[in-house]
Amino acid sequence: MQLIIAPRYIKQFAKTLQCLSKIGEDLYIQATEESIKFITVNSAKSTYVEVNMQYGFLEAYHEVEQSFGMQYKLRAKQCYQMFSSIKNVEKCAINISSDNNKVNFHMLCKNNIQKHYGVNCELATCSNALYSKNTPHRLSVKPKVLNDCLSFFSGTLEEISFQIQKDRFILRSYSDSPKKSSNIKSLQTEVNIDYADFDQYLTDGSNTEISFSFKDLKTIMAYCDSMNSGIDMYISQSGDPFHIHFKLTQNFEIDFVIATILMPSSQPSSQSSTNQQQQQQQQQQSSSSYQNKSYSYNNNNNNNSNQQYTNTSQNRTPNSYNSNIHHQHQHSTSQLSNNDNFGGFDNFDDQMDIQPPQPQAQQPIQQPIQNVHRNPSQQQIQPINPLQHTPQPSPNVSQITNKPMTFLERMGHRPLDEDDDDELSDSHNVDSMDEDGSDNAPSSFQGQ
Amino acid sequence: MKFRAKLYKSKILLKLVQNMMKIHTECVMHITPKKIRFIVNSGDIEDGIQVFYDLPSESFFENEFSIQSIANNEIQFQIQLENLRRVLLSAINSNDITIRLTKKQSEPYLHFVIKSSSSTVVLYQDIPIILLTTQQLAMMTEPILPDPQVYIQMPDIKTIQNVIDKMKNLSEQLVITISMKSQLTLQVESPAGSITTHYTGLSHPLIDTNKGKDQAPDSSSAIVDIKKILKVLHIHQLKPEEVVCCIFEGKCLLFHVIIQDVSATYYLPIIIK
Repeated sequence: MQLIIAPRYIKQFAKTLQCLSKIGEDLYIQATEESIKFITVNSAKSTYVEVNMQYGFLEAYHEVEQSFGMQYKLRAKQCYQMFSSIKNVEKCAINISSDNNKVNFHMLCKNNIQKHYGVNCELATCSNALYSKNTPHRLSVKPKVLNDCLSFFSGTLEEISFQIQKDRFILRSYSDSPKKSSNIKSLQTEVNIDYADFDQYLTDGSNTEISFSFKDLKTIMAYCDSMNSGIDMYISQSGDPFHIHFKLTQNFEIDFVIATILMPSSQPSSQSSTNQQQQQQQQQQSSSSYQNKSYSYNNNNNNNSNQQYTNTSQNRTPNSYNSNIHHQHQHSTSQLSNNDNFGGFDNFDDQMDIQPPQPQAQQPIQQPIQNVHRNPSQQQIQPINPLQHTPQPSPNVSQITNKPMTFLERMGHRPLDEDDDDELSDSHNVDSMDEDGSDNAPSSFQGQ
Repeated sequence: MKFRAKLYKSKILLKLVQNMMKIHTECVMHITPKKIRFIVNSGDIEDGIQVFYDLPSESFFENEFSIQSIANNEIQFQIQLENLRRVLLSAINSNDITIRLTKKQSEPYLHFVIKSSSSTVVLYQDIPIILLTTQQLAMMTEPILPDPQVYIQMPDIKTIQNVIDKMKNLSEQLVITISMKSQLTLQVESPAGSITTHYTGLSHPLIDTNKGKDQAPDSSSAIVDIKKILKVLHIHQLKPEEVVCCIFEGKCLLFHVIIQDVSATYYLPIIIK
């Protein structure tokens, strides 16, 4: 596959690669007949970026060696570095050949200097995000408006909230754990923007609030601002993906999809019906309950079978709960976990922008049944209302040691850890109670 | 405890805060009906620089303020300078800044409402603070010193900073000598050589001293850490009107800085050999 970037867009192309490399570590290149896509997902799988380039932005684009339909994975940082002397680049061509697993960048610079960069790549498939443009809140704005506001926030902020009110748009620093000790307290910022500052402000007036990663939003807004073109934001509710659409020209569009934190209040009430089951499965709960509170793209409709299915999948696939990103081509080892990641999948079916190739509408129905047959001991885990959670001391010792926190920490998924705070402290309380009751060693030790 | 004020001169305050950040990352704000006092004190005995900024309330709050507390209507709290800097930076284009003391989830915050006439954006900033008792504040008072016997008005701080910056490469210790005959000498020494810079014809501010002039020594010198004095000399960014340096032999080096209606005092430890 060969492509040449139109000379007037080389600067924009370099900026895009820089933005991609700031968000994700790996860059996926997917070529199809009509367009070429650059995709990246951040390490926590909470932010997904898809750049769509077509002829027009590209000066030339054609297939070599049947490379269409393939996906190549390469390190995003390496792709950006070659554009450090962007002023001198007059022409840029990219050539992917599967023979030697290399993506070749050819640059024609001033004074007829030619540069060739070969970046190693491999065939790999990237996760895809599911999102919809048919959301209750649709806002169009100049990125500068938001970018200016983001500069008011503390640099150490991890998550930010957007609240969409009837006549104003509120940005707020989000912290989910007010119990944190005083020395970690940080600056709290709230910005109110009048709806008149937006180019388009469509809302159903439901006062929706979504929270998500601040760092990625900052990267995205800084990028969009530098590209000098408006953005469209599609917001549905907390827990659902927040979609930013950026369009530079007809031939160059970017979709940013950011996972939002699922607020406890937005959980459907039907879950309380299985309280009894929960208590029997106390042990599994503590390991899975925080997943239910976590980033989730699963649609929270009240369809019971769907709900159960969703939760089962969350219980079993700790690495995929936090987004609706999933693999198009399942690897044999992780087929199940990839498949059953979509509770509310059928709702999105007709709105999906990206359709995984296989017919998927049937999966949600089939999969739960399979689960039950395969693994009868597996119980369905429901999200817990923290208030109803009555700690049961007995199974907790093993439960705490088995807590998959380390795994998550390894994934670098910090928002989740914080999300877990309520549950965690709960477990810790139980833990300490347990210790006090059964074993007096810690206190007597302190006494000495 | 109540505090509510409209902030004027936020740009000057921002500059002051940026300058304080050169010394330490946090400070204590002591607000009284008459003045706002910033106390920057690293608390580290090794470092030992203490800075006191006094701002007149009526100039920064212009009478549009109210303060109430059981301790003589005075409020004191600890605040992170970085937060304050960020808030003042976000208010740079604004002309309507209101400050209030609030409690959120039983934690005290300094609440800023920042509005601007040119934009519809309303910005709310909450800086977490740690309220201090009067006893805690009492431990941060200025050192008690006798009247200075040797003092001089400093020449242009910017040039002094450049000079000392060059001297830094030679030695870590600077010998500063003030003579009451309008002379200032800066000197660094190393086994390889020494640099001495002389300033003459400087003026002495009038200070009422109880003792007769004849008892006072003609000149006095002190050895200070060159990095610490460089930190202090960042004040040139504030374009001070007057900088007076005093030496208290065997005790400390002191800088009095006057910037419009703000006065600042820097206390620098000296090295005794």
